[in-house]
Amino acid sequence: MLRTLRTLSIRSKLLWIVLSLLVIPWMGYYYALEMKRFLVQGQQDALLLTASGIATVLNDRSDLFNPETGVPEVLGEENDLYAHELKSLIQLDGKTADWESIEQYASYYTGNELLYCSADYDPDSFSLKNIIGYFENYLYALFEINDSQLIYRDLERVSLDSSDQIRMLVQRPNGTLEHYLLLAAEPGRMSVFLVDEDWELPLEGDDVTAFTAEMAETEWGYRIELRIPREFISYRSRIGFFVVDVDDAETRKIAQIISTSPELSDEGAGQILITSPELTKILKGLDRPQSRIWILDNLQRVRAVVGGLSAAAPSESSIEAEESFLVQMYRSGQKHVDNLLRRPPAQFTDFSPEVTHRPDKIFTTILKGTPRVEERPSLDQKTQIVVAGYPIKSGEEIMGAVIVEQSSHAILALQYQLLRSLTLVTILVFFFVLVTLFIFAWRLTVRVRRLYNTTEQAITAEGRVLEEKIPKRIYPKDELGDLGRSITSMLQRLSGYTRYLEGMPDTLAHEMNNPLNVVSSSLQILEADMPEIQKNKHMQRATNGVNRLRIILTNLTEAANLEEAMRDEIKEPVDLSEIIPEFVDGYRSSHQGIQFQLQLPRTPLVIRSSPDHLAQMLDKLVDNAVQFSCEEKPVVVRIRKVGDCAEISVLNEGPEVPESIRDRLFDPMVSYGKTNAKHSHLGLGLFVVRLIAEYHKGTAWAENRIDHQGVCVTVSIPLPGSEHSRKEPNLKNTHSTMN
Amino acid sequence: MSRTIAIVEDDADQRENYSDALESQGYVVQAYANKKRALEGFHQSLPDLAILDIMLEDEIDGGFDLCRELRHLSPKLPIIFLTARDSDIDRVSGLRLDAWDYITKPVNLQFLAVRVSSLFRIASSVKSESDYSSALVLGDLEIDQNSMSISWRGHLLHLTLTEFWLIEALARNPGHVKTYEALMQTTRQSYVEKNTINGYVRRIRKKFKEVDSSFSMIQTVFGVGYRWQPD
Repeated sequence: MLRTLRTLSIRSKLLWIVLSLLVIPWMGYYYALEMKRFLVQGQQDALLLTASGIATVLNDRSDLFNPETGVPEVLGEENDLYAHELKSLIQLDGKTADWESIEQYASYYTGNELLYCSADYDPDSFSLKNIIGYFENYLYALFEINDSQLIYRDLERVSLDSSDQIRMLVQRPNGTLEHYLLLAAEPGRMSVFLVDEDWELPLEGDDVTAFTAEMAETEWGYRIELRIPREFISYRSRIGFFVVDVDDAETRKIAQIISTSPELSDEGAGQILITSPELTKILKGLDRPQSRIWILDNLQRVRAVVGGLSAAAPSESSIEAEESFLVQMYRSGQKHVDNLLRRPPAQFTDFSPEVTHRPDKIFTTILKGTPRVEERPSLDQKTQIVVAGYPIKSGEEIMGAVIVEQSSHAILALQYQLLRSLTLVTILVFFFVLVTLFIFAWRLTVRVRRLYNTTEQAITAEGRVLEEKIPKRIYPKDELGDLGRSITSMLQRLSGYTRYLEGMPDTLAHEMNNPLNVVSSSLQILEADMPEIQKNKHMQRATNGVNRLRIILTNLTEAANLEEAMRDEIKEPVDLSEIIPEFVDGYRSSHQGIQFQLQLPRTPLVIRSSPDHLAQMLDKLVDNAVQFSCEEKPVVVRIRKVGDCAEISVLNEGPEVPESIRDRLFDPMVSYGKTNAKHSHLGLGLFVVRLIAEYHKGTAWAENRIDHQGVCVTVSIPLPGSEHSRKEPNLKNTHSTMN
Repeated sequence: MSRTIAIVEDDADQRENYSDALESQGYVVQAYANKKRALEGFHQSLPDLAILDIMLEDEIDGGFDLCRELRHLSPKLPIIFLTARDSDIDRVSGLRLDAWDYITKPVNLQFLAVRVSSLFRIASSVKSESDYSSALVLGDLEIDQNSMSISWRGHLLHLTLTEFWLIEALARNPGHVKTYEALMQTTRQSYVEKNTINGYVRRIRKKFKEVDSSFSMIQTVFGVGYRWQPD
């Protein structure tokens, strides 16, 4: 793993580092979540505290839950009728003015509530509006019936269910059912009969006078006001109403029946519930728009409700026209993020305050005595509601529960805002950092690579300095610039030293020339003055020694001379396949006893060259080959075209070149092999070869032969037209590369 | 009357050796170590021939300055330059100093003597403006042995002694290859390399081309030598 890390480029490394910055937004998100959790926890705790506070107030107030307030025991059905307090008593006069105060609580019944209807039922022909109220000792009910055909009672008829009628079903605490029928033969006071279970025949002959009903005709049907004493409907009684419509005066058939409770049947009637006013008064003080407080009795029926569930969200600042461009950009960015993330909606719906029953399971638990707090989604799933409940006790008995509900919209909205800011800022910062780092890394990599390339090209493989200066573009005053300057300085020093070293043989030679000339001329004079001394062997040896010294010095200076000469020479097109054979012919006569073989290409091979220098180079190659060639073995001169270069090779059989000096063969002053008194081994021959090869923009290298034991020295010269391409060195050789 | 030869050479031993060798030939030698002394001497009395080393003590091209000075004093004085390298000859030719010959060190004293006597002979023949009866004509080439001058298509070429010898050697046998070895001998210098010969031929060709841009009588025989083209 570590090794993979090391092989990454700088760009990749920086990319990984930038990616690791992703930790920041993740941490921010995590923080936002934590914060939300914390806040919700706080909200829940606060709600529970509120609930417990309210519950404490209501503890031991069994009077609030008292049956006198008219709340019989109920089994939790939805068929209870709510009775609402009236401001004054109702006059049974057919006028609805006195009902106005509770008009809003009216229930409307049409098709859905029908118990029975014929196939051609038209809802506009028959519908019901019903209000139940109470004042002091009386319970009042208002029925507004929309009836297209009002059929009065026919007094002639015996059966009582042959006209438009109201049926009232009362279930006594012991379970017995009483059926009361309200009939009208004419507008005004209605007759009330106690009838049998089929609603047809009266059980008693006389009217029931316990409660009174008044009927009045209206333009769309009729209206009935009913008054029942509260002691008539006692604590444990249950009530239901049916409104029966008869439309045909002839047949007197029942057309449809609307009941005030969908599940009402003869088996059970609904109850009249009365909201507890004292309770509501107590809770009024807690009426706040952001939280709703429910008081439930131990049958999970709603006894009182205050408050609301509107969300108090942190307000968004509106966009003003004078805001700066940047801020406006930011706002539009916010809108985009809104589209991305889900924004908690400000509007939602939950249970309406009219709900009479809260059968939620959590309440069941609370009513068993355990305070609970929980979060649940709202009815339309748009937001979360926090619900806290605390039981209300009277002594040891649990009478009911306080439920406090609050939407966590405020928290969610806050969290959302936080997340949105976080997202937006993170994206911006991330993007900015990424771009900056990328630019920086790119520039840095470019500079480093440029420096690398320049350095690579500044020096040949052997260490000869070609370029002394690293270009100024890399010069800004940072670490990289320092590196560039350091390299330049190094190159300059190296080049200076190399020049000094390379020039040394030449300098030496020149210095030695003068005294050598003195010796030489002195010997000549000696010979002239004393002719007999010519035969003296010491004289001869001295002369020989001077000659050898001369050759050595000439060789030493040859390289320097060559460099000077090559600067001026002009190259001309030269066909290798023509002139090399001429050279070789010359060698055959000058190197008697050595067998020369020639391998030529089939086609002319033309290079741009200076023939004199070509000759000089070949001389050196042949001298070198001859020097190390075994007796009787041939020296091969081979010319061929390889790629877009011309290769001139001289091969000899003899000792191989040791690996250790193969790289350095073409350096000045490097020699190998046996020393022979006849040849001077200054190691300059191959250096000259390399110089001339470079003059032709080519390269030179040596390798051991595979066919015979021996050495092959090759010079490769680019053909015209391809001179500017850099030649890549062979993998198994090293040789100088030049631009 | 014996002729006076001036030698300007800063290396004492060599200077002495040259003087000894020339004196033994019967010449009067005036030897100077540096430019200043030489100029003083020249102003006092001009020599008949001057042999100048190029580098004199501190001055790299002191010999050149001396040559110019001498030319002011005597336009027709034979001057021989002693050069250390072949490249010096190129340099010197370019300067058009009008020297009569260049010798590279080390100097073979015998050859030096031959050169000196040749140059004296040329100088005297120039003075006397002798006839051209000893001229050798080879096509467009005219070789005058006495004045050691060569004309090509009527144009007189300014050649050094060595160049003259080389052209004469080549032109005498048109169509025959003169090997490098043979040419080396012709130059009458010691320790001549192939490259030196190449340099001489190059300079010769250049001088011919100055008067005739289509000159191509000297053919290179690669690896062997040179050849004067037959007609």
